[in-house]
Amino acid sequence: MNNERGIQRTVGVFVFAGILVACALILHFGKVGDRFRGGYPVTVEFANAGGLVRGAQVLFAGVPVGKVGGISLRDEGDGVNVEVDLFDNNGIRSDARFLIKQSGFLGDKHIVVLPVSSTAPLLKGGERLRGTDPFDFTDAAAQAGEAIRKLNAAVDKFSEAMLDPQTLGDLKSSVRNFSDLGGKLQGSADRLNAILARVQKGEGTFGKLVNDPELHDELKRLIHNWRVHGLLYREKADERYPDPRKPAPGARAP
Amino acid sequence: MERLFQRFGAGTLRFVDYLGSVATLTSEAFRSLVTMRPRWRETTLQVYSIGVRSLPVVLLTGAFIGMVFSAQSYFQFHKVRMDTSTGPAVSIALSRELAPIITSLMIAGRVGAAMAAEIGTMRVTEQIDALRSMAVLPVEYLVVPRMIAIAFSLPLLTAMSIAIGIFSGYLVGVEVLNIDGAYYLHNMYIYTEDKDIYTGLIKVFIFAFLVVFISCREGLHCEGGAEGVGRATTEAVVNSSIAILITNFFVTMLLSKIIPP
Repeated sequence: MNNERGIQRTVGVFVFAGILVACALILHFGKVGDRFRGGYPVTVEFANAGGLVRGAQVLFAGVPVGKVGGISLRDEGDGVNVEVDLFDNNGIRSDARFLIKQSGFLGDKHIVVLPVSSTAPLLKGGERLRGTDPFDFTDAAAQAGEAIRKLNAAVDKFSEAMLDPQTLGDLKSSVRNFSDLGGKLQGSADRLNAILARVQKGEGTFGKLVNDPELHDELKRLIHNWRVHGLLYREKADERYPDPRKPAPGARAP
Repeated sequence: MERLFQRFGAGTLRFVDYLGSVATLTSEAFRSLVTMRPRWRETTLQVYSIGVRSLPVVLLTGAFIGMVFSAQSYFQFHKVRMDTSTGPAVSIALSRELAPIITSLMIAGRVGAAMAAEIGTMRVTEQIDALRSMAVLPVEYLVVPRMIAIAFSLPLLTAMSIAIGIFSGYLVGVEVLNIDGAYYLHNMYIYTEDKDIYTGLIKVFIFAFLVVFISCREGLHCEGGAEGVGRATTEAVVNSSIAILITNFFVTMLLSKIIPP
């Protein structure tokens, strides 16, 4: 009887431990704790989910702040709605950018949230956002190919329109003329430089005119005299250069 | 040529006859389960025999399977500098395939052989006929308690095997092979899902019925004295093991449709 009770007790312990271990494994790997974690859902619209799967991580500043709850095609047929379950108190603002990124070259896809401002209101449950579509190498290559094709067409048109023998001949002669003109201009500039150098040194008429202060004064007096004698217009000339033959106003006669 | 076809035909008939006897036993056992009250005392004793007494061997094999799989995974992942992927590889492989198969084979070897030997001995010593004469159905008395016990014990043993395998794999990976423990556990947590555990437990639940019905069938059809008991024991283990391995493939494919990985 005691032996049977012992067996029953052992069986009880075995069953209890087995169920405990099985439940622990299921609860742990079922991420049951995450299901009871407070949070709120938002919907992010993407043109292309890019291989994102349900349960993929959502990272904000590198910190996990949620998971992808579901992915469904939009009724309008222009992309997908990605349901994102965000944890509470994550600090994500309503102007934040949502991007689909990949860990490494062959890694798993996940959503990255990039902050834009620190003043926008905090994101609320049920909001709809427009996500930034993932970079697609194939699309980029296709667009680059299209651009190159257009560029080639433009170059071909230009070649046809502009690079005929007549235009090329005209262009050559124009370039030659420009070259001759440049040579002549260079010669003129050299001569002008030589003249200016002489003027600066005070050589020649212009040089003396520019650099001789006495000549400068005499020239001024000449102009003054012309004004005094009515050869030029009168303009308070007497005040600036008073006639030495006339007494100054207010002066006593000797 | 004619003899070849004859042999082939005879073998086919034997195989169909064998399947028929297992199927008949299965239907009788389920009918007894539904129509009669289970013998809980015998069932408890069988849980003790199948579950508790198999625990050391199951834990030992589970631990070493986890350790060796951790080491082998590390050797391969290390070539591409993905050491921390060892964690999820070990946990998913153990949960889905290794622990269910190894535990079921161990139970087939240890318990299936014991069932066939015990029932076979009763058969050759005419104790089963004695039961019938006392209006006790052999299937209800011998097979049903074993069926309930193994269907209950094998998933529990498998869960323990998975747990000890994951733990021992962690010890080898982190303490011996110097894998970063934080990322080992993080990746294991991220990539292992509850459905991996369910898949393994559903499999062993099916394997439990294979072991019990094949082993009990061998015992109930045992003939030829002690030699017959030995043959029945061997065939119980071999047939159960083959059945487990073949069924595993089909169950895996079926479950992959029901519970996508």
